[in-house]
Amino acid sequence: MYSYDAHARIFAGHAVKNWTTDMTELSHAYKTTYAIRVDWDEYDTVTWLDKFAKFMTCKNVEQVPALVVGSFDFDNSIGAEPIVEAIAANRDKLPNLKGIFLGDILSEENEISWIEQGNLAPLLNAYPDLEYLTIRGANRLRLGNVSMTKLKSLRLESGGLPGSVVREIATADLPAIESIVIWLGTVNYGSTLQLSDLQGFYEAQKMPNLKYLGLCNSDQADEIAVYMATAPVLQRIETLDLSMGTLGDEGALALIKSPNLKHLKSLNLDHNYCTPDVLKRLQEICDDHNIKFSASQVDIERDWRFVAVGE
Amino acid sequence: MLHITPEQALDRITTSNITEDFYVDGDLDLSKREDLLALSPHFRGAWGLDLSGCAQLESLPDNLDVKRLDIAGCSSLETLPAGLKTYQLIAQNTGLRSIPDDIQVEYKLDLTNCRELASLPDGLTVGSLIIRDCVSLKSLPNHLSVYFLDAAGCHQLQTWGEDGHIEVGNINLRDCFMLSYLPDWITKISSLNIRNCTNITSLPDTLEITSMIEIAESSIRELPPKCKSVTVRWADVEIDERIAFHPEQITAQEILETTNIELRRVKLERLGYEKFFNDAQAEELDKDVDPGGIRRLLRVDFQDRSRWQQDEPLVCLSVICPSTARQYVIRVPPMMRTCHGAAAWIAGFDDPAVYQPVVET
Repeated sequence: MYSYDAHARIFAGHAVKNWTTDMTELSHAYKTTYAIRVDWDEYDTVTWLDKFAKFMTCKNVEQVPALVVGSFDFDNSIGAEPIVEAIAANRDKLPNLKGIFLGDILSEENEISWIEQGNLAPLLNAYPDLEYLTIRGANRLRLGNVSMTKLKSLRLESGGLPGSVVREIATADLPAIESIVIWLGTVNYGSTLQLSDLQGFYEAQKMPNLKYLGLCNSDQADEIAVYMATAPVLQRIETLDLSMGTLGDEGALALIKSPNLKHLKSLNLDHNYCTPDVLKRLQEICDDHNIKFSASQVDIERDWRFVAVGE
Repeated sequence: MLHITPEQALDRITTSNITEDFYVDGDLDLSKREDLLALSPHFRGAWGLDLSGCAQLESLPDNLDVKRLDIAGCSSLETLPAGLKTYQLIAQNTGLRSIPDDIQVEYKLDLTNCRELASLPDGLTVGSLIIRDCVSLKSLPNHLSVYFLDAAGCHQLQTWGEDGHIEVGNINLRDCFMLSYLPDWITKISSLNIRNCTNITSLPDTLEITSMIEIAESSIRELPPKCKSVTVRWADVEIDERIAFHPEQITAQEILETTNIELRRVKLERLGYEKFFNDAQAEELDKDVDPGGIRRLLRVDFQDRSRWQQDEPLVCLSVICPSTARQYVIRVPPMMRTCHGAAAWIAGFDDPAVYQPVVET
């Protein structure tokens, strides 16, 4: 569920291959996304940085188009900053790098809310031509002033994202961005989201090519739906994705009333807490306007609403 | 050239009766061999070479081909060989006095705590340069080119080289007390730490920082134009530009209402205890007279959000210096009850009864 129960198979348009230390010459390097991971059983003897050092001295490494950083730290003592430094400091040896997935880590390896990220600004400064960036985990996460002229896809998965990071993305300079998906998470796991943090998405003037906007996995899904229902950005994007959160009738009714909804091509409200009646009305509107509508429900009888991914 | 395994290399590496050059396929671990003086001149290299803790080692063979070289703690090693080309060089706590001109390190050169190191070569180019606590270093080389620079604790560092290239990553200059400027050839970086750089009064207008700047106890009065939206930290606490550069605008009332303990501490330091106690409604716990004049023990309680976030009360001794007539406010432990007890604690006495100064000046 939610592409989180298995390691990435494809990233940045290329099949993902797990790199192992015996691969001293990279085959088909120009069209392979290499994943570097430290497994649980080797964690005592080798670090992610040891592996990366060997990877960087492989033949053809300069052709590599994308990197997947898998599990690196099983006791959350180091965090991603040394990894960020290593990848950034090697920028001259990775001139073709177009994609980075930082934290392709499954919950059985490390819970999403335990993953220590940190300040990723050096990575963004080192690779301003990145087209694909995916980040899983948000502890101590910081991006800084983001200005990436070629970035097409930005995906940030978390169980709780600081509002400051949401603001960094919402105010970023992303002229080529087509898809933004953010798992905002819950206050219990670090979300400090205020609606004002989303302001940059309302018109998204610095994102002229945006087609897919996912504000997912939020315990404020109703408030977000109410806020975005009047957003001019809906007139020009194709998909609004408010799935995985705690969306109930309040948010759904705001979407029903939205004058902008009809411009969409697709609306994703999977994992919602709406009543069948309200969902039926939304379905009718979507049918009338040829909008692809997806809205799998969570058990409505529950007293509490949960986001899909928290801990 | 002979290719051998790390196991085979163990008995060849120090002997002098081998006449054929050999390369070790893999990682050779010679760490903590305290009797190791030199390596065989026919040793051409290995992927990884760990010589950490070889305290007697005085030299390495020329033209070594090693991707990862670890010489940490080689305290007798004063020079590196000619033609050294490597991916990563770990040289913390070594006796290195200089670095050869022709060194090539691709990723990281770690010279932490090389206390004899007096210079770096002109044109040094490396992804990440760490010279923490290199206390003999007075200047950085000309045409230095790095993405990350960690020079924290370089107490004598005064000058940058003519021209150079530092961009992308982080620059750490914490505790570089002698340094008074950053050069204008540093352009776009992620973060800058100038904590305790008391001689740095301004930053160049050309400097762009994309995420963070730490400025505690530095002397800068404003941020350069391209750093306006950067996160500002004071002793690891996030603050805004008003607290950083206009501490005179902080009020005692504002401090009392600040529930974040760390932020409150920084505001207090920025405003100053003297001004805070003068403005806040402090409770007077005790009052007496010493040679400077009236001495007062003052207390302020903070309104805290919950018992989990409770800060201890601020208790300070207000004294007047007998020789300068200036008022000083000194923080003491919150359980202090008398001026005399507090003065004794400041003087290092646990038992106030023992503290009987003959004269105070």
